[in-house]
Amino acid sequence: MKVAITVWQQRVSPVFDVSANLLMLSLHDGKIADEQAIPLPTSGPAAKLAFIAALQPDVLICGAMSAQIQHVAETHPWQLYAFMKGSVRRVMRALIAGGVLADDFSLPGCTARNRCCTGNKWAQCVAQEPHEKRFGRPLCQSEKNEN
Amino acid sequence: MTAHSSTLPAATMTEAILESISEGVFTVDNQWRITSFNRAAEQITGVTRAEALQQRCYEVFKSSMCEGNCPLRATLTNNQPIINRAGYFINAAGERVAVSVSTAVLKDAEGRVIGGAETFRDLSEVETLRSALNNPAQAGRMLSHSPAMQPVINLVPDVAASNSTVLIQGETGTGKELLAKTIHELSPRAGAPFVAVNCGALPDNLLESELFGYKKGAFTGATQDKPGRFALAGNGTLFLDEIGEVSPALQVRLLRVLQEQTFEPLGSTKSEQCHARIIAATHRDLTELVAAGSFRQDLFYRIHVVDLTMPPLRERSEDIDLLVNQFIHHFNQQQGRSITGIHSQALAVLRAYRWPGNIRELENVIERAFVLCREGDIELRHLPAGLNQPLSGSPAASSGSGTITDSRRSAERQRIVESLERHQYNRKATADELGIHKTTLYRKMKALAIDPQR
Repeated sequence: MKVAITVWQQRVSPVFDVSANLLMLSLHDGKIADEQAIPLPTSGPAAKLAFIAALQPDVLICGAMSAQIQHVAETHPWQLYAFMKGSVRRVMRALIAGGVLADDFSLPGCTARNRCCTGNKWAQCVAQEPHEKRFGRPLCQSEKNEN
Repeated sequence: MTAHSSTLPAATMTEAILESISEGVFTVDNQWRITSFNRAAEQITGVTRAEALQQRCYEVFKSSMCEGNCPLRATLTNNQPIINRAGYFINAAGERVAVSVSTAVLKDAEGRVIGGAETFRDLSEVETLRSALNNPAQAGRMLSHSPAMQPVINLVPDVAASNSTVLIQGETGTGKELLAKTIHELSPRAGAPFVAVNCGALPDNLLESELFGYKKGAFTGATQDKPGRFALAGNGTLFLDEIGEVSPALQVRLLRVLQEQTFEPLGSTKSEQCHARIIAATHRDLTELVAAGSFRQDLFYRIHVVDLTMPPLRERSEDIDLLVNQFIHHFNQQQGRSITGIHSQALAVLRAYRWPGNIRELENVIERAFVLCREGDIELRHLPAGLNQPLSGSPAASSGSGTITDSRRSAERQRIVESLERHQYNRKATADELGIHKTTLYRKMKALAIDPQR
């Protein structure tokens, strides 16, 4: 299995759209058999995505991703983990152990509670959530006025 | 207020102020972990304080600046504040939110650096307004300032991401093939071929062999196998232009390909798989052709999965400046020339013209101007005389053409007629849209011989 992770300072790079480096890891028998650091194109997120697609990973793990790019990324035949955080070693350990990444690795504000769906539908879900649930407190008067 | 504030401790006071301002504020320690996060920061980022505290700032803020151009890092390195650095962050919905960021060093009572503070303003509303004013909407290579193009531009990313068959309709010369190419280039098939076939340009038999290919010996002269366009498109996109011109017999074969995803080259006994995505286009009204019985209804529904309509250039006149500049840039590069632009009078004539041939006609006009204009700006005299003719029925029509005054009158008349048509000849609404008084509109209509009863 080939895993691609956009990286920065040995952690998942916080924003895919401006990521500069990729780590390609090959897994065999539950261990990392090979890893390769590869610079990403600087010309924009679509070019980065096309570049990664050409490497044919089975899994792509990255940080925050703009919705348009995520739409395209979701059409590729890989398992996409967007809006992820954490050190590469910890992420890989979790992936090898469980085959999936849990909420612990979601960027703050981007947990499964928010991520009932992705892309535009996700935005709608977040927008429809009660304010109390999102911010842990009721609306104040000025916010009520805004609404 | 004064009495209250005098009794509040300084820390509470500071907190109250931070909670009341509209700018997002957070502070970090020397390990880049967030130590405070105000209410505006919660609202702007969509991350709650509980989620943000003790997290690394770049994983909370998710900004375009974090990885390579962090203002807070620069401030802590150089001990210099940064004011209003522009960037964006990506919120949980995947939206890019424009922000302006300022930073400062945090020191304790002994003057030791204990971290940094970052304030940020949400610029998304300002950016939206600025963008609407200055930047055209864009999908791949397609740019537009025009509201008429917005539905198309907005749909392109989603259409590109899907595998559905697309039907593009629009008058000839409106850019249907460019739209098809843009969809292909933004799709996951971008690395595979884009193959275009003009179905109206070839006789039926030839079109059939072009599309499906043939085997050696299929007919006299077929001395070797020839792959068709379906095969050449592979996993890419096959663009069938002028699909309304296809004969009924060939429509049946196309329908079979779309239904079964297979085709048979001429003279072959085996079916081949079709993996290409089909984008069809026509300048004709297919529903009329279906009603008239000359286009199969079942094929129409097969290709009509996603429907995009390219508006004619006369309905997107806001784009004429943009297109003219694009063509000047294109021909300068293609011909190694250095035409600097277009004179405002020439541009006014282009804006006033009805463009029956749409963008293709505009491109030809600019190419012609490149032949006549050796250097500097394209001027009125470099444009075809036909463009510069005032509209028939206007007073200028009888007084000759070619002068600046005629051009201005022609443009003015055109603008008023278009506005009147948009408002069903309601003169109050027209005057409001044009930003002139109703009396001025009457006077201008009389002077320009515009029929008020139309």
